[in-house]
Amino acid sequence: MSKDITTMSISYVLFWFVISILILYPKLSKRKIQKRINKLNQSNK
Amino acid sequence: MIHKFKKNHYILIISLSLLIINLFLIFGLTTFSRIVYVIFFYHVSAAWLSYFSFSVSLISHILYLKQKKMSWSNLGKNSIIVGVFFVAFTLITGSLWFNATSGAYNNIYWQWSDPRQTTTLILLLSYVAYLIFRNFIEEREKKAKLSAILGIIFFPTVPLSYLSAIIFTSLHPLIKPGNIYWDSIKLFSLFFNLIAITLLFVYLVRELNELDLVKQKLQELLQTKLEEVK
Repeated sequence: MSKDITTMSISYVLFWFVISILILYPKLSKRKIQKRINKLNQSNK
Repeated sequence: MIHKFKKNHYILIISLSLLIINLFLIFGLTTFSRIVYVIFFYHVSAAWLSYFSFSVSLISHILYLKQKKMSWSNLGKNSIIVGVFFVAFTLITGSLWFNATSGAYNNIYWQWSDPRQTTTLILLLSYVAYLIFRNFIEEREKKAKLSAILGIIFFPTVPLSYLSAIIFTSLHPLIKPGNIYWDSIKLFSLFFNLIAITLLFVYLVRELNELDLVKQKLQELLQTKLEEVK
């Protein structure tokens, strides 16, 4: 029974972990690139 | 641009809300002889999403080869990124479930003799190879063309993975209509999860497409900067 709960909990946490990575990765990357674009634009002025 | 972002956020909120509501459906309405069977809702949903993602990538790659539009190539690549994550999740949860339910064969996570496990691993490795290969090519057009061809070549691993448990003798259980383990409430919860996770796919692919556009913008800026220096 305890093994069942552990297995289920690991799977459930892993599910949300995968979803979190997939949601956060483009958001954070976009923010980082946008900052670089802004810096480049400022240096152009 | 702002309008697009907002629309996409609505998709994310709806999808996550459906996933949370479904959690209450699973634990509140369904009954299982063993709690470990709850994994099935997530395992099956993730498997469905990965097959769906790879199918979208196949269509996108074919359309790229026909129309030569970069957006099709990006959609194909982004679908594969989402699919790879979910197929890896499917493999891990499948192994965990096998370990928990294999009784006397405790502490066994992997069976090379099982066609579903092995063909799904081949599927995962093929698409990981696709992403690595795509990353190595610098020239945009060449990258899109070669990765489209590779994406089409690798697609047969998807039906192979799905059919492996039907054609060959496998330890993998099949969801059949009338199966006593799958009553209408469980099937309803499963379809509920499938809808939620498909909406999540739409959100993720749109976000990854936006990221590609921002990356392209940066590249163009760097290019003009480089030309100015010259």
